[in-house]
Amino acid sequence: MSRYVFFNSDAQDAKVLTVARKTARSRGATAVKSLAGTMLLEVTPAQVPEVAQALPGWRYSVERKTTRVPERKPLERSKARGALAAAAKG
Amino acid sequence: MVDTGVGPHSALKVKRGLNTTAAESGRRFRDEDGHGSHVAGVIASAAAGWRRGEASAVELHAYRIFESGDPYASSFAIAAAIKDAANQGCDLVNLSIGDSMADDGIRDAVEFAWARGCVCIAATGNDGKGQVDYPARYTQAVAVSAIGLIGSWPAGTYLDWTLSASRGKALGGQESFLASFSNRGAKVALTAPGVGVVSTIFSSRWGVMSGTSMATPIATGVLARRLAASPSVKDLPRDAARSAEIVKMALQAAEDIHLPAGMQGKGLAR
Repeated sequence: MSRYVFFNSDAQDAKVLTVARKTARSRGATAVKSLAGTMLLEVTPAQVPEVAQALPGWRYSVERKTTRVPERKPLERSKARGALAAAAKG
Repeated sequence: MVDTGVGPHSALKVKRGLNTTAAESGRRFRDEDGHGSHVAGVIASAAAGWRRGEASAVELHAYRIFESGDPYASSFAIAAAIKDAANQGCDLVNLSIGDSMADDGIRDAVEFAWARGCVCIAATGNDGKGQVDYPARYTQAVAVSAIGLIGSWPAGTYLDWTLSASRGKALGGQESFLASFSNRGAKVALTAPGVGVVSTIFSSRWGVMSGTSMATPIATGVLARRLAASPSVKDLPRDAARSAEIVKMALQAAEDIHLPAGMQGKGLAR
């Protein structure tokens, strides 16, 4: 199973979202969470086209987990370590 | 603000908090990291004197998009938070987050907010590279770079690594510079201080952080204050034209600090 984000700007109403979740489930998807016209679905890659076809007006993308808070990136930490090391030597 | 959560902190009052991660309760918006609280305090701290936030009268909505112990946020959590903020009537969404790759769902959320009169203000990123991160790189996001001020910390100490050769005009008697870590590029719209920023962290403490994450809420707070004082823009119908007017107002008010456009955009957020 993989996780996909389905989104539809016209599906902000809770009832519309509930219907979409039911439709997705009927095509074999598991609805992990949904909010504000956005659904996180667990489904096999092979099933995704069928789920998408059953949800007209919805688009989807693979769930990605690559966003972070910028200052936690290694570059800053390495620079900070370098500055501290230089200061210690000096 | 869409971040690691907020508080608890005695100087921060959250009007609405929501956790949009897949695994955690929606009510769990408390900050377990410190980043989100710091960003929130820059905007909304109600403490007295120099600890006060840029726009302490704002109604702060806190969205936690990071699961406990996870340094990465799901594209679902981010997109859902932005859209919910727009649905809740937020005027501005602070995004002190970054990613080198685009995502259709997040871009759709930024566009969704824009179409509802809600503008996303986003950090350019901290890699010191010539291209801004996403979500700041999306057309309808306002990208904010970071500057520092010479002499605002003791010479020879830790923050020296943020210095760069790109110098701007003096502000308050101190020469400005583009922070060495700040990403730059044609997409930069505004700049703001992001070196040695003191703000709230969890458990009602105060701490120093540096980054475009800190510059972005300064720009957001300054714009929130300006928007509150501009009923002709604030009271416009919540649509794309309102978003465009908000951005226009922000860019027109920016102060040219004599850095190249790819570093300062239109200038210092004012």
